[in-house]
Amino acid sequence: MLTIPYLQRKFLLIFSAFFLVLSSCKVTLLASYDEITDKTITEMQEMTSAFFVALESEPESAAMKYDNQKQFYQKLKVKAATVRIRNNAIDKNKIMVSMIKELEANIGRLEQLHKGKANGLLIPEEVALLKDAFETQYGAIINFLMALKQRAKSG
Amino acid sequence: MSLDTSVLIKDMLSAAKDNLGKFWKQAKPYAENETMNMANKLLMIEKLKLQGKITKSEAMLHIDIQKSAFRTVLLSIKGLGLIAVEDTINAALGAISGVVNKAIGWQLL
Repeated sequence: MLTIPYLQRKFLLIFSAFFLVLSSCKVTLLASYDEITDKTITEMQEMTSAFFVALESEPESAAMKYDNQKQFYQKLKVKAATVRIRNNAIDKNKIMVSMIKELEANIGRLEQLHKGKANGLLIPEEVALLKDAFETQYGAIINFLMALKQRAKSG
Repeated sequence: MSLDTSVLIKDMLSAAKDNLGKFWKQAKPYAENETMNMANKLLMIEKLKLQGKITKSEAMLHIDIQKSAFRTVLLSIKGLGLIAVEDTINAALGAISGVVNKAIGWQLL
């Protein structure tokens, strides 16, 4: 029986691995663009923006009290959980999952703040801070999604 | 005691630099801008607390919200950096593909 010396065997193994890596042609460090994630994040951003715009225009409206906004939080939390679970199942997607977890945590904190208000209303100064933070957060996620979309087009 | 913005900015930039590692050079202008925004928001939160408009626990929640938004920005910068690295590697592979394929005699790259 033909036997291959140890060093030759090792060389063949390394060469085969190198060959396999090269054969795959394109190096991918991140997951591909996901249209459903993009759509869901955009919907969440629209819901959140509409919420803050309503708070800005009618800061003392009974409609904006926490008890009347429970459905908004419920819908937003369901969307966040859905998009997180979906992204968790995608390979090489750690960055997107981490960003969604940060957003999900902030939705929880926003609800906690709103729920804790004695009169059920957030004050205008807080609304300005919160709106800015969420715009920054959604902006960063959408920016990354746009870059992934561009990469998919040019790839 | 009032917050010192310059110390805040310095500490945050240092943390951002550690977090972004090799992407720091490209991300620096963006990170500096976001750091200044974050420091200003922390000052606003402090002001609301000192004016008695929000409680201590509400101030803590606001700070956590701003921190989380800032972390998301850093994650996005990191992701954009990885896309750039990927592009560079693939461009380099693309540049040598003709030579390698010709030398081997068939389509390897």
